[in-house]
Amino acid sequence: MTQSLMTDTRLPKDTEPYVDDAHRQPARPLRDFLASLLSSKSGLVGAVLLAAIVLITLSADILPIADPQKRSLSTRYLPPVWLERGVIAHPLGTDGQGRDILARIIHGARSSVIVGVSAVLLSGILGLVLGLLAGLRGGVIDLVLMRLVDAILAIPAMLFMLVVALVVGSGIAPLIVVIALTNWVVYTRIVRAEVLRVKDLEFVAAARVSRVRVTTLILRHLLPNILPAVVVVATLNVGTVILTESSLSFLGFGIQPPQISWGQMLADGRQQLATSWWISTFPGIALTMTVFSIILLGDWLRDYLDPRLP
Amino acid sequence: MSTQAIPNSPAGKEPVLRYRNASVVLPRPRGGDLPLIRGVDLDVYRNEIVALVGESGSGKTMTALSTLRLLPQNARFSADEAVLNGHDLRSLNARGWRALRGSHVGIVFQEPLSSLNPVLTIGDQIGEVLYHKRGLSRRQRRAEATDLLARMGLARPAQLLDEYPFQLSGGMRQRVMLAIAMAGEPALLIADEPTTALDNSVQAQVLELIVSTAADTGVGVLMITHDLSVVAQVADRVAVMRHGEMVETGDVREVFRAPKAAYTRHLIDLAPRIPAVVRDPATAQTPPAADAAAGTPLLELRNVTKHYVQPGNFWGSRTTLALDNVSLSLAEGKTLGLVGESGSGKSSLARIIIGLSKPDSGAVLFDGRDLFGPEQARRSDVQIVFQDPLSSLNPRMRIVDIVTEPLGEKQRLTRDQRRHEAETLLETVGLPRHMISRFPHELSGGQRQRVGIARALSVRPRLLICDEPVSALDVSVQAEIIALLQRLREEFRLTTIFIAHGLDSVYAVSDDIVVLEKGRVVEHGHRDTVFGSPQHPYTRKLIDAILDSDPDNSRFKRDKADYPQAARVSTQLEQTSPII
Repeated sequence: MTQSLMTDTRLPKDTEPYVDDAHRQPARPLRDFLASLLSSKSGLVGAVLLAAIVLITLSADILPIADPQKRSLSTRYLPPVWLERGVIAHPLGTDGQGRDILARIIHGARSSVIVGVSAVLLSGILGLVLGLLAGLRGGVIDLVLMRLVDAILAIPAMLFMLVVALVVGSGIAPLIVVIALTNWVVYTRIVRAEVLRVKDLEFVAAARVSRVRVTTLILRHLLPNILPAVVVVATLNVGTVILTESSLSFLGFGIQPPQISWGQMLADGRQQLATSWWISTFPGIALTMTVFSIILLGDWLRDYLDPRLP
Repeated sequence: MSTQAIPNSPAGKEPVLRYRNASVVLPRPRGGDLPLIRGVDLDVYRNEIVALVGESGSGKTMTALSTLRLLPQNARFSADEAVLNGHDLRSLNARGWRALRGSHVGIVFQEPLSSLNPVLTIGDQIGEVLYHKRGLSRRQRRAEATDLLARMGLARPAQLLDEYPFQLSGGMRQRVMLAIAMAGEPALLIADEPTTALDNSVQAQVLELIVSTAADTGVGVLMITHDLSVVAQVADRVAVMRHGEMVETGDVREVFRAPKAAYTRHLIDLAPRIPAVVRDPATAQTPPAADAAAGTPLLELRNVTKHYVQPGNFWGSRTTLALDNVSLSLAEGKTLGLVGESGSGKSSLARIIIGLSKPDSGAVLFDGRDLFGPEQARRSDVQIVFQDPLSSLNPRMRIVDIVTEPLGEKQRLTRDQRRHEAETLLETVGLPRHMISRFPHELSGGQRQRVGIARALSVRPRLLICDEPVSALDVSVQAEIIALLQRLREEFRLTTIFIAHGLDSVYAVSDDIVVLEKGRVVEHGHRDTVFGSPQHPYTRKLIDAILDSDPDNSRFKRDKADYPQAARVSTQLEQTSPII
């Protein structure tokens, strides 16, 4: 290999026009974050939707809407305002006890969203820790944890939750715990699989050769490469969890009247679906919009966290 | 249908494949076209092996796949002339393509494991072609498949029909792939890097098979490869591609003797050659005897044994012996080449020396101190450069953080110190300073490997292990990285262990060589002693498998009128390794 030739052919390959990379330093992380959010269609739509939902939910008490608990025999089964018999006082109609649907959706959002998000966060964190443990330590810990996961998956989830609910009681906080205790297995499985995939990659070996601490290894090398999968699953999971809440509430555990939840409303309108469809349809739409906005945001978040995407 | 004669080609005058000014372009999502190949002229005649050579991104695979229309979606093919076995490729519809594939063109891919369906038996996979392309009955299919496997040099072909791909070795799988490709009696065989994933000794056997298949059946072969030694050994004609264009075409001997394009000359200069000492042991340099006695070696392994436990299932696990009683020593400033086929324990040994795994028994002494003993040696004195420059860099970290990671958290470098250190390291390995704030995916393969080297050097190690540092890189980049390593070795006074499967490159950089077979050291000595007069049959087998980049010294070429000197000299191989 002649030296002159080597440099000749090397030039076009390794020498590129000088690019000033200074702008790539995240000098203003918040600005970068917002810029990325605003430039992504799904991120923007998701963020606006979710912000609107949260804003409406928080201001439920000061909005000019009807009293969600007020019953009235004369206003039973009123349809939405744009249909015949509809009245402007009840824009989305009323239920079988004459209560305003719109008001109940707005007031019910609080408990549904709180349950959905906290149960997902709690089970996600639990699953993340246990999945890391199983994947990294392996051996007996892995064996025991994974058999436990199999066992929980083998028992019908509803039955399992009913049993746990019997022990911990009903209410929002117990409900979150009950759901989290069944739901963590999903995350444990994903995290463990991802750990097994990532931990044998050469950059992890390189980090171990560099003698980095275990916490650094996990936080810097494993988690950033595992989280994208978890984020995707978690955003989809929020919807499922809100529905689980509704099933439990319907069965008499979880959120009990007079507290309002979307799940209850869905269950309430179930029998009148043919005649008074609006009782369960509108809470259903609210639920769909919420889940949709979270999925869109999650989609963007996954891309934002990946440096390989522009 | 497949047996139809090629028009006007009794003597191979009419080419099986003829491309004139062929191009493939990919429309960009935001308008404009991305040319993948441009203005390619190519002929492949019957009974001829044409090698398509180039580095990654040169368009060689795209050119070959265009004959089967296995192009990316949306890609557009155009040509002044594109004729395959009498069919105009420009005017074929979906039905025409389906008729063409398999019966006129067969293909062998690089990775035999992923190109065979793991849940179908070998017999099913060959039978599929025989049924659809030749309409044979079940009984005929079985007989024909057996015959095909036998012709591919596979022992007990009848039993093989009922086996699954995982039960076969890599070389056997590639033979099965070839049988499938030949089952439709094609006129053109495309071999896309058919031996790149195989060990050297198996590579020679598969190449031999391709050459003899071409000779026996008269099929025209289009062989895609990046390896010029393969070209020199098997090809009749060669076409060199770069950046989607044909740089040079011609008779293989003429191209090797007097390359017209500077790029071709450059590639030939870098092509692997059999070290002179192999052919003429008299040229061996006698190892400096004084060295052996001087002081304690920097690294010494004493009877290192390592088993790996495969978890298996609930009831039990299997253990495999990775290293069996390995002892070796390495003096300061020397380079040790580690040689052996895949699975011989090279990487296990590297992992133990670097401290990623512990030996079951035996001792690893670094500078006289046991690496796994109570008073441990300074671990950062030993560093490693990994094989895959992509997976060895965390995709979510910036270069500045990657190269300074070994400096540790304890040293508490400020942000500016870290930055400065990283810039210095990048300059040392020949990268521009501004790259420190990039992410790994923004660099080329060679640049990434330089980053990997910079990371290893950041703690000023005394021993550097290079575990196949260039295997994943293009030929010309390989040469750059090797040259860089050589320069750094002197600059940093490094002692190095060099692991590679290309024996010629190991020979070029090493002082001493250790040959590993199934976890045992079978030979250990000065490079000229090991290469010049190998003592162990395994070493001899490895050395015999080196392919020389010299068309005049081909072990495969058939006796043809225009190749008077060529002769098949592969008898040696067949003796040492019967059938795979």
